Amino acid sequence: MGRITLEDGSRVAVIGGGPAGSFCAYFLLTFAERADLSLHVDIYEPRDFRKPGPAGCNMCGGIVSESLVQALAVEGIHLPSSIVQRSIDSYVLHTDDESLRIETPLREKRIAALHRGGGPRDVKALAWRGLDAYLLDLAQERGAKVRPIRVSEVGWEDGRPQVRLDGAAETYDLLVGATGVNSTGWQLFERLGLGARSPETTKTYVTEISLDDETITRHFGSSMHVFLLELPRLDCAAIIPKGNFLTVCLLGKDIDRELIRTFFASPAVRRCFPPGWDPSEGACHCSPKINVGEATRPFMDRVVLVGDCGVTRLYKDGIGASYRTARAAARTAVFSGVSAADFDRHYWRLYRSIARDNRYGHVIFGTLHGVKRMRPLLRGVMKMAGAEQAAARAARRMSIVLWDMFTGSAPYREIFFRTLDPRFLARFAWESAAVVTSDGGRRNGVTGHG
Amino acid sequence: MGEGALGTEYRDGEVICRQGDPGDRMYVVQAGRALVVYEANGREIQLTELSAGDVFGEMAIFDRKPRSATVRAKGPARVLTLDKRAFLRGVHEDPSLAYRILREMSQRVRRLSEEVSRLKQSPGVRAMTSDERRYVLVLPHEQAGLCELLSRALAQEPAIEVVLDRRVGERRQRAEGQTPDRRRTDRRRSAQGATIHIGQR
Ligand SMILES: Cc1cc2nc3c(=O)[nH]c(=O)nc-3n(C[C@H](O)[C@H](O)[C@H](O)COP(=O)(O)OP(=O)(O)OC[C@H]3O[C@@H](n4cnc5c(N)ncnc54)[C@H](O)[C@@H]3O)c2cc1C
Repeated sequence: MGRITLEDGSRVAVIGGGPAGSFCAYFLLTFAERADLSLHVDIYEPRDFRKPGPAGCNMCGGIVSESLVQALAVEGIHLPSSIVQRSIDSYVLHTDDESLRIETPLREKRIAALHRGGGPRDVKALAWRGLDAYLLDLAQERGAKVRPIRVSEVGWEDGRPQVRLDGAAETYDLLVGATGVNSTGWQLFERLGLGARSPETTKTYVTEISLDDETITRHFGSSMHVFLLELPRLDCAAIIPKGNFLTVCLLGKDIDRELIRTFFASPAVRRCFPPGWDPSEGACHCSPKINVGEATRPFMDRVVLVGDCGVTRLYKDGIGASYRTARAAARTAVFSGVSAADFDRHYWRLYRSIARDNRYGHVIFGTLHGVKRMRPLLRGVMKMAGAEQAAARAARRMSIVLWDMFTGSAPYREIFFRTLDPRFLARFAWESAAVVTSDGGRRNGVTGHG
Repeated sequence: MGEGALGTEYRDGEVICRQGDPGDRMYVVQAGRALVVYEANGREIQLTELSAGDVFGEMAIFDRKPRSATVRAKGPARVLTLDKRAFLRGVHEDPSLAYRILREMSQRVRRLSEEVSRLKQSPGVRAMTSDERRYVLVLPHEQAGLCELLSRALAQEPAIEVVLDRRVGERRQRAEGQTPDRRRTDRRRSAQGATIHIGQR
């Protein structure tokens, strides 16, 4: 089996300059420098991330998870306050009946809420940079060249991947696919002969509501607002405060207009806004696809997929998954090689571990649907977390499960096993039973107002 | 500091981590400055100053010993806390994650080696002078900070050497009280210039 490695002067094409593409270029060049290897890296990215509105935006909630903020800090990448719109230190859980603020034991602002692109369509003054522009600049500072081109044709030349442009062709030693799931990028990999099943996706919904900074601070603070509403097909709903916008994110199975309308009309959502305010869709809204099932095989000789076009974490920390896959692929390419066998040995394990962890994620979100439908259980969740917040030194079993679940700070597998802890279950059963024996039980236990 | 600032904010002089405490996390300075001080016998020796991007508290994570020094904010500072478990788990899966920390630690070891060799070459004030040196500024040992400041400021000036008088009080008194003349001649012999003591009682 011939070894295929990157040599001095080797050329790499990265198709897509979202987080996954920029991280991959950044780490390819960082590792190459450590290994005394000189590489040429081109990033193909047609979007101008400085433009407001959809033209400059890879649509998303814009939360950079606690774990990613820390991992980046260890790498020496510090998200400057000019791109972080608001730093987050807590979350507020809302059900139809009640709201509960949950703090982390550390009470430190370790989650970043930011814009991905140049900001919403109706942004008044462009006073900031978005994450994607920041990361692309970082890759450029390392030496990557950005080519503002949408790649539509690829092929092979003498066993090397080729990007075919109008009237010209560029041959590379490695092609990194980082096209996400909101483009026709997958066709490129099919044309290269990657015999794999494309990622499974579903439609989501994001809107940006314009509000002044002071009102946002007063009503939403530095918390992420998570809604546990019993709406069919809705797995996850959040309002994320930023500078003078609120980002509303609805994740689940094919979110449609009816569901969006019901969400904004729900008492839990209305309660968050100033009295008299009628929350509704903002001027900037979109329905991006999200990856809910990984591509079956993310590599072949001289080709590797990173970020969303391969695998991501279910509903959470997609940018973190882009970082992890991009870094692992870059490390393999520089220190091992770029054959399918190299990626199989050094990249596949991480890829599969993310995919496998999502299986636990599906179980957890399935369970949460069940809990939301059983009012005593949902109240049990709130009561248990509430009691933990009130007692300074209590074990925060429920709070931590919820925190990790909604912020993406821990693997789903870890969360799953924590909920199987007998002490967790006993406490949860106790709190839920207490609800039934007091008021909730008399109201039939199960609510159904979907 | 604005809405977008990550980490915890500390006021001037506020302790971020304390010498002797268990080390269950490490830190990265996000903005401002922090001082690393070593506390011994009720005295403080300033070891170094940290600024944005500097990592500290990592030693206790690797060697599982209590904190080796106290770190406190110098002016308002903002510091991000990194969880020990998450970091160690990451490094276990991918040791290259520790590369940057290793690099910082090796830079620190290099700096310390230089410091040690400088101190070894100059065990007391006596051996510290050389033929080209015209003046030796001697500072009492509790003025370590000032000494560092002066030696940095005068680094380019070959005629002046700034040294710390590391002898303990009793010995110093004896040396000064009993044989002042011999001491002076000793020193004169190797240094053609003058030895100037600063701030001594
Ligand atoms: C509603 C919603 C909310 C989300 N919220 C969060 C969140 O709060 N936090 C979080 O961490 N993650 C979140 N995610 C997930 C996150 O958006 C993705 O995981 C992340 O964007 C993946 O990065 P990527 O670089 O792989 O893909 P993308 O961000 O999609 O970037 C792909 C890039 O490739 C370019 N491209 C595509 N085709 C071509 C081509 N042919 N030639 C050249 N360039 C091309 C595109 O222009 C684009 O810039 C959310 C996702 C959705 C849908």
